[in-house]
Amino acid sequence: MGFKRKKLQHIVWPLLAAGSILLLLQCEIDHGLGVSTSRIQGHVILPDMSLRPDYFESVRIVALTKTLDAADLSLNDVVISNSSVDLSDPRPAYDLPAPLSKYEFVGAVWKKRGEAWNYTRIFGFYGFDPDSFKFTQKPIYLTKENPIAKDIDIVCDWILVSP
Amino acid sequence: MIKGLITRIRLCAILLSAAIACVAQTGPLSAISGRVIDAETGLPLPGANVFIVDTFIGAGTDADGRFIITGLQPGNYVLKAGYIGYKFVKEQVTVSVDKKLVLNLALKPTVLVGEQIVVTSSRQPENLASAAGSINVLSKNELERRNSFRLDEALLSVPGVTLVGENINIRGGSGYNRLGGSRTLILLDGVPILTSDLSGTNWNIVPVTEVEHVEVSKGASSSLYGSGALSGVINIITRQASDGHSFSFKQTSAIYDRPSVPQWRWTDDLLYYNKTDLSYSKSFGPVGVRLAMTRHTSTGDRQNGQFTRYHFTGKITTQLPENANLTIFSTYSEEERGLFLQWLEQDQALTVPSYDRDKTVGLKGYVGYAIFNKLFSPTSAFKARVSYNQQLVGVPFDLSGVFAPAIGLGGEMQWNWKPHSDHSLSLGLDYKYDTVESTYYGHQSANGISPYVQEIWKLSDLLHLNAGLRWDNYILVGDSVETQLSPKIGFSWQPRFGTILHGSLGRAFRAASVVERFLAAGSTDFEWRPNPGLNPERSTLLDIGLRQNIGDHAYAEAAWFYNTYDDLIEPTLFTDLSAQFINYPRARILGIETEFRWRAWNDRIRLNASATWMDHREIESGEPLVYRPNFIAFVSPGFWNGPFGVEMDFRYMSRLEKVAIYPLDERVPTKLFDIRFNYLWKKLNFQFLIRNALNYNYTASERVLGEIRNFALAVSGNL
Repeated sequence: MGFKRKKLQHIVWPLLAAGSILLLLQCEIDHGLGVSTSRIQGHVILPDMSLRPDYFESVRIVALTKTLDAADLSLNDVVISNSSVDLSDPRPAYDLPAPLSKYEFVGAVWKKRGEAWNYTRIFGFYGFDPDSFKFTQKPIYLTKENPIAKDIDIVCDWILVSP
Repeated sequence: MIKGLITRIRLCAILLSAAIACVAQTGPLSAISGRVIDAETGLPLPGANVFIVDTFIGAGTDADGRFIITGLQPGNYVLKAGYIGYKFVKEQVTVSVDKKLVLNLALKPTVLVGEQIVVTSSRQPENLASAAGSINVLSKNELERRNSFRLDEALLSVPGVTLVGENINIRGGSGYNRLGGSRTLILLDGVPILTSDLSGTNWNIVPVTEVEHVEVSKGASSSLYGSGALSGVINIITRQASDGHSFSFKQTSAIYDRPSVPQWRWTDDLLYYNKTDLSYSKSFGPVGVRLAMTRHTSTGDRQNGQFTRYHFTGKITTQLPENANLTIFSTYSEEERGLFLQWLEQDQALTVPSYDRDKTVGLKGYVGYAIFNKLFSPTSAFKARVSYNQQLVGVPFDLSGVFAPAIGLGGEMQWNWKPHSDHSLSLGLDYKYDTVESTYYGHQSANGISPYVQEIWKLSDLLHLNAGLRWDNYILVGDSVETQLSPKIGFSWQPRFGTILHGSLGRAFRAASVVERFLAAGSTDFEWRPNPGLNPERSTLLDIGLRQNIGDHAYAEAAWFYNTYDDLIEPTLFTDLSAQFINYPRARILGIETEFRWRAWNDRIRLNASATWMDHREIESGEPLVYRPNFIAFVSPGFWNGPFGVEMDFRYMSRLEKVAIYPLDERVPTKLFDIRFNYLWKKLNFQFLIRNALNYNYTASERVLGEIRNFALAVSGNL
């Protein structure tokens, strides 16, 4: 009798434990990080790429939470894309995941061959009109209600590039 | 360079042979031998300490729980045996001339952590209850139950310990240096194993299956261990050889689950890992041998996350005449893994950017040491060691063989003396030499010599004081000399039975590593600038704690700590996307750490829990320090019934308030939940593990996701 009870215990306890854990895993639980829900999207309008100088290597997208001339601007205020823009397409689309915030500046930065990325090397920006050479500051707001900013087109021009 | 290295190897060899040659003492007269077993199960307790009270005479038990203490003068002694998680046993013994006394000592399990012997906080064996600083011990049983692949993972169950990247943090002391720069000194059997170039830890070199226990000593420890022991010391004690044949094995196989975010799935292939551990031990007369090997292969849970690791360890301990012994230890590891520095983007968090795809990194490490121990008399003991540490860790972008191995040589002599039953004195001299070479930081070499002294004064059975002082003289060849004086004082007081109040105050320092000073490297994303003028960082650490036994089945501890730092070395990013290590002027970390252990229902129900609150700030700006959480907690309940057991670990780390790179990225707290089912059958232990059971996603460091849920089956046994 005692032997049977002991044997039964050895089966019941593991089953109970496994059952309760399986139940727990079925519950709706917090999975932490997910895909980024807020982003800035648009196109990069490239100039004639046949005029591209030798030292000009690649292009990335940046968004700044402060204006370019802010004295306390630091890397804490910068979102930069991970990969380069496709320069073979004259109007490549971009999709920049960015945290919910107000962005004072969205633009494209270029990398000089043999040097590190420097986001002050501007190639173009949102609100730039190369014909009139005018810059109209257009802040972008990413909020819970409106997490995606669309049609934020960045106009680039060789006039902004110098070695 | 080679010539200089050979000269230094010769110096270390002369040091050791001189130490061996200088020993001369009266021959052994009698001995005590026996076994230490668990009083409830009757199973042997390997790694238990057996020693004669108020002397340095003692021995550790082998894999069969056997011990032998030789060279005793006839007379009456008090023999004491202790083991982690068990109550001390004391026996009055009488030793006669030329007669061997055989004793069996049965120890009862307990949660009262005061009942343990530790060696790290004062460089000599002492009861944990009387240790002045906060110290935790991670036992072999805990390591085996968690089946951790590397020791850094296993250490996360220790109160106040966190891991950011590969940097172990004690009470937020280390942060995340990214390129080594550990502020916690890692010792293997008392031998420093931080790499000479990065001053980091190659965790692959530490053989988890060969670990007897780990002592985590918190607080300033430079008074005993010098540079690197800024926020604490982790001392990994390896196992002893067994008397008879002992063969053990463990096979772990696992599969990765699908990511909880469907967009992150990057392959339809089955992702899995396999790990095999083998070890063998036997004594041949006075010579004990341990051999171990590990093979760990994984597809990884992410693109380019595959790796293969090998690990080989050998340990030989020889009992020499005249109450002396010599231990020679050697460990080698090799790893080949894919490069995953950061994800492509948060929407593809398990995918590597195209420019890193198919890139691999190789890591190789070797550590060897020889330790000679000699007992001159019951109250006078001598220890000498030489060590060699060679690591080819490099930095992750070492893809073209531009690094030479980083080499560290060390030598040490230590004398422990009890001039009186109330006083215990340690005197020592430590020497180290580092040489590194790379196109990224040139050829650099450095050496240092450091005398130290430590005194434990038992004012009464209830009040112990200790004080230590170390002088470090570290010369970076071609550069200035760095001189540091590191004092420390501490006390432990037992106002009533079961209550211990302890405290310590000390100064510590860490010299900047070669990489922190001289690294000059560029990639497509970053340029790392050298900063040869970096000052050593210094800290002052105050720690006051209370250990309280609650009946026979519960234990609680609380500690308050206040640490200030000068010239803290941290990576800083500049607006031109370049980075450099710089000295932060002043910072402080203060906090409270609590721990609770409880056993009930004849040890069937077990609970370990801890929580640490921290406030960390740069003093001038008031800004939080990078890579430190404000709150960490660990809860581990377990239930055992006969051969069946189920255990859970829940780890929580609050969101890092501030990071140095990609600060605008989304960050979440870490919530890790592991479950283990165990079943013991004869000499085999079957285990089913679910790691990250909630399949919770968090970043282990910037843009690097923590491991996703995996299911493992393990079987282990001793034959």
